[in-house]
Amino acid sequence: MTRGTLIYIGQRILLIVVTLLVVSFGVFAAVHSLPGNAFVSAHLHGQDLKDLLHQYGLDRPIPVQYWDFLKGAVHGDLGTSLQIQGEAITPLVIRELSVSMELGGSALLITVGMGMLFGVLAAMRQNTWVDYLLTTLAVIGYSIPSFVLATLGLLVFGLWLHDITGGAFYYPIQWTGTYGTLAELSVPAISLGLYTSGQVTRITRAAMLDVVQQDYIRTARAKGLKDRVVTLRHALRNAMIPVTSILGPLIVGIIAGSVVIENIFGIPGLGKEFVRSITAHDYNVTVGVFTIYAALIGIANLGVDLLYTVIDPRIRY
Amino acid sequence: MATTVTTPVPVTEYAGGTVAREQVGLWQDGWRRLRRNKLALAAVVYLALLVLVAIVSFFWTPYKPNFIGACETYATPSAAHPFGCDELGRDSLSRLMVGTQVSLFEGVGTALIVLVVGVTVGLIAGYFRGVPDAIISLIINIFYGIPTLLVALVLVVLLGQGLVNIMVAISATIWMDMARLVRGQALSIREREYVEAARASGAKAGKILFGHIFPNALGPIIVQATFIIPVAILTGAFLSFLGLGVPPPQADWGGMASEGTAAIRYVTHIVMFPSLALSVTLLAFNFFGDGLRDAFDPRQRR
Amino acid sequence: MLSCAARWTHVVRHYGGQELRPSRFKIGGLCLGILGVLTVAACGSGSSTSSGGGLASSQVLHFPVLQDPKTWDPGLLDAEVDSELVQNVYDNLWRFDDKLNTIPDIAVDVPSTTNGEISADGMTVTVKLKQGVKFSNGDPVTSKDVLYSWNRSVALRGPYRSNLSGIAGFTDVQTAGKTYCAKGADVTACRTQTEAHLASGDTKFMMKGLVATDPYTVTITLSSPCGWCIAAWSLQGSTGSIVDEKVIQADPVNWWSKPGEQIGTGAYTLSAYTPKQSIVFKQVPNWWGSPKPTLTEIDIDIKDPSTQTTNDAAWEQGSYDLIGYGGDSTQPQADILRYQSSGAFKSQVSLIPKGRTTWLSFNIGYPATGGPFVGESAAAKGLRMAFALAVDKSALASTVCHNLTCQPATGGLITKGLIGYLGDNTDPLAKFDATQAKSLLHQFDPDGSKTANLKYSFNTGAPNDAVASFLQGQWQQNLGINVALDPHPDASAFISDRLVGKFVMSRDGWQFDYNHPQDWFDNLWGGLAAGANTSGYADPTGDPNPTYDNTLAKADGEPINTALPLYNQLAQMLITDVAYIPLYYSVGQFLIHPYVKGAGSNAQADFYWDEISIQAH
Repeated sequence: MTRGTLIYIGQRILLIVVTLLVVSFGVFAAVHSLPGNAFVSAHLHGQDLKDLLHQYGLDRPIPVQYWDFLKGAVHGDLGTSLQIQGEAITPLVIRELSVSMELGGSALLITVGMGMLFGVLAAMRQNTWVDYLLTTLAVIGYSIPSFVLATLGLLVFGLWLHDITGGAFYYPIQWTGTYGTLAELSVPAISLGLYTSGQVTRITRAAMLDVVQQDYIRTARAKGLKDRVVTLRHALRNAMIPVTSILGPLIVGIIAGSVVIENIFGIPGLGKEFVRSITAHDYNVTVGVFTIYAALIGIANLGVDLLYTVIDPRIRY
Repeated sequence: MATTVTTPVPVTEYAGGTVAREQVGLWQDGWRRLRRNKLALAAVVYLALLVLVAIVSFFWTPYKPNFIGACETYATPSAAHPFGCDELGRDSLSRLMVGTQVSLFEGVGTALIVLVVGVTVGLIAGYFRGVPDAIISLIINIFYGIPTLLVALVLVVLLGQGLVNIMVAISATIWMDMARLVRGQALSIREREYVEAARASGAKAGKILFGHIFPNALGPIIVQATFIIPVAILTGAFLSFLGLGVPPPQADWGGMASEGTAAIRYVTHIVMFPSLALSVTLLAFNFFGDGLRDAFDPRQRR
Repeated sequence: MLSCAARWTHVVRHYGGQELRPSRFKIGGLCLGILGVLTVAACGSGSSTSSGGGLASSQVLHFPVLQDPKTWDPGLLDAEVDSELVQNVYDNLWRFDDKLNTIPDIAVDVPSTTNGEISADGMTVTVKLKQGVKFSNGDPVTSKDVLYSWNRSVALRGPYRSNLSGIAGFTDVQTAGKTYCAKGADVTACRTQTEAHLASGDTKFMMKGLVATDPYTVTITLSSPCGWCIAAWSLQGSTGSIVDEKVIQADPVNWWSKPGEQIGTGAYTLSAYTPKQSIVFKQVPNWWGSPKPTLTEIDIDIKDPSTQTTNDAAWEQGSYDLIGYGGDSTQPQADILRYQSSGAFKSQVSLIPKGRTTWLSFNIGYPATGGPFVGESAAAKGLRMAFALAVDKSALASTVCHNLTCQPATGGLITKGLIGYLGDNTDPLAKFDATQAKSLLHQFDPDGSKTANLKYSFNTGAPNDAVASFLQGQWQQNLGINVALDPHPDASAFISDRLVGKFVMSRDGWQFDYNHPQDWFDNLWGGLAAGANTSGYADPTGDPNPTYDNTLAKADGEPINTALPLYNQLAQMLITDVAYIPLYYSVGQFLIHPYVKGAGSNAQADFYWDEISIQAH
């Protein structure tokens, strides 16, 4: 690792830290300024409510509260939940993070794996029906909202098949444990990943054509198997670069999509937590989840940029 | 979630590589290429129809879209109600028509906001460079590090549910692509001779920016803007699926799909038609954007 | 499936064998994934119980709830999901039976003037405790536990402490608790210090009307005769519940969430709790009470409202034994309709009215908020009546609820089935008369200026959105007036605003706490409800003879037989003054498989777990 790379990594980490600070304060201020709170009910309002809010320190100025939060967060302590009184947030969020990563990671695998696979095939069979089919499928893939796919998947695999076969086909329609089994994971991951795999397909196809086109013509007649193999390897490697370049936005897209997918399939992950904590005014959870996502994205982007150096030796920082 | 990706890798349309052609203007050549792209043409026709439906629905729908009791609740499609009725007995066709307004507004409105903000910011950063560029680039990079849908969620909750607020919230998550694109264009175009000449002759910055740089970057900007529309519509659909879209009783596709999902084992038509409408519309915009890009983006030409 | 793998391999190999192994693995992985899903298909779903008549071998009840517990500390509890669960963990001195009558629990009998346990002047209540009542950790229950539990509830200033407000010394302890905890110390310090004061016997923290005359007798002196007190003290999982001082003082803040520390006198106790995931309760061995429990374990999955459809589907497939317990008694309508139309599940759906009424409140008493409905002039009342008569309540119930999840409120605001219900079709405000409505409108607002720019405010969520749209349609159709909708996505903000009278027309409602009209009339209207009075309906300020407040005070002091006519007078006052538009009574939907015997619900709460057994199936 060169000095330049180290400096680059240092700059990027600084950027991530700045982003996290800005983001966490922004979200903190935003949710605290929302009307309503976690406690009010038909039986708890007025002066009683004010006293309770005072007990929890929720009537102090926002920068003061944020400072308290930050002091704890830096040590990994995100405070306690207001919704579940007394429950520490950090272990909760860590567990849900690993669930979301299990889902997101699987979706990413499917995205990149299936996407590149289809892209290769389409390029191989350029301008044949295979090509048109796969390309059209790709475009359709990223035109159909993932919640439509998810609902369809739930309907087909969770319910219809079970009903039609009289119970012989059993798909677990919701997660029973903390982590999903392969069966529980497959349909949600595919619904989440299919959307972005369309883009990967198109990019892979285009990149491969760029290379294969030229060489294909040259080697069309004579050389035989071996050269085609070399061409393919070269083409594939060339395709990795643009795919890697959109890996960052892909990950952001998967994170965004997971919010809805987790809701539909009842997956106990961060996305579901986030939506719930906003409506329940569980402030620290909202800020915690948001900040974790931002950190994830920052690290993922950094990782992707470092990946570049591995894939394309010409790129150096 | 789709992000616009303008890759540096061109798509060839035919085997055979570069062919020398006569020098024609960007626009005429572009139109010609666009006309030859059948998918894009079909998409344009569909979108024109959609706009027509949206306009018509301002004045007339088969039934009043919010009228509870127009028919039996959950009624399946019939002659009187070609798309059936929803869970409150409101005519689905009428609601779909009115929902078109929301989707188109969200899409085009967001694209306009992003255009204004992104172009301005990008031009400033790319042309003036130095400190403004550093600050703007920092802001752009910070925004890139934020999860998009979550930002939109927080903003909608903060600003309140309303069409304009939703457009603002969605814009906040996708303006960076446009800004970065325009910045890149400004950075490269400013080095061209006629721009230097204009600067040397004392032209004001505004005139250079909007007289020289902006017109030359127009191609990629238009293509980018066209791709923003489906992303905005999709984000809007996500928001309303989660219950944070336009407030009831306004009909919108995402909200209708969400209501239909709960009823899906009882009747399928409530979720099917808005989902279909969303998917086909997004597809159309994507095909259209592809066609535009292939036709107009000079970097794509081979 | 295997041919799937073979074919792709062939395609790939055609382009050059070994070097493409990575791709083949990708393909293979995909096939494997699909294979995996379908392999699971080969195993059906299972239930593991013996067949043949009689009890199943596994007595574990499995059902979902829709949110985490906020707290299981009965002194602080106010969420329905929480009280429905912990009513099986804690007992009160009395409780409600399945028909909502008060019966003895830890007490020997229900005090009344007939058995002498309520003094003739109504100021003293003598309670005798059963002997042999034990906490689940074996500690015996004596009268000092009653004192501790009730004093603690007041000192902690929980939302339901007013249930104990009839006892002499209540306000002093309430103030002592506030003076201490409101100091801005954090919550932990506040709770810990309160326990310290209670432990040291600090008299400021003890209600002087609550005395333990001997280990099994408690003498309660009231501040004034109180007809509703025993009903309020019987509310399960609330401030009247008996808790173990020893355990709480060891861990004042989190005792309620820890197995082994959540100690009560009920038949079940907490065995495990994983936040956002699951709760397990286990039977208490050698429980003192009756009927002796059959279920050994209660497994509860913590889900959330967005998963209701999948929960129902899971119930159909046998993963859950019932749905509806734990406050989850409103199912997605499409599912109920589907069950009602199919054969298999039709008999497994139970529709049970829940003691909850929804109505529309006008701004009557807050001049600052404005609107044409303020005050008691003929015009204001006439316009209120016009809007009330213009709504077809039966159509509302049939369109929005399919007559399944709600029924029209035709007998006053106190829900059908509760004491104080006026009788079917006795509320004139529940009538639908479009002609009369229109004529009233023309009479009192001929040019339409007063009723322009009206808004109906409500918190969003089903069925409120649908009800709002329906109401809007009715006024448009029957009065020709366009009332805008004012949705509030944040329920807590909406409630705060509504309770201080910020809206001209708003959605209002109440779920009863105990079966006594005082619960309604004290909390919703009149002087006592100040600060929580949505409509502002009350005796005029400075009125030397406040009819509402005087009648209410008298009624609250009488035993129920003499009090009821007085409460009915209050109900009539509300009707004559057109204080509301009645909308609907809520109906809960429970999905219960036939092999779950003894499960069900009344208007207030689910039946207890110790009444339930699982038959072989």
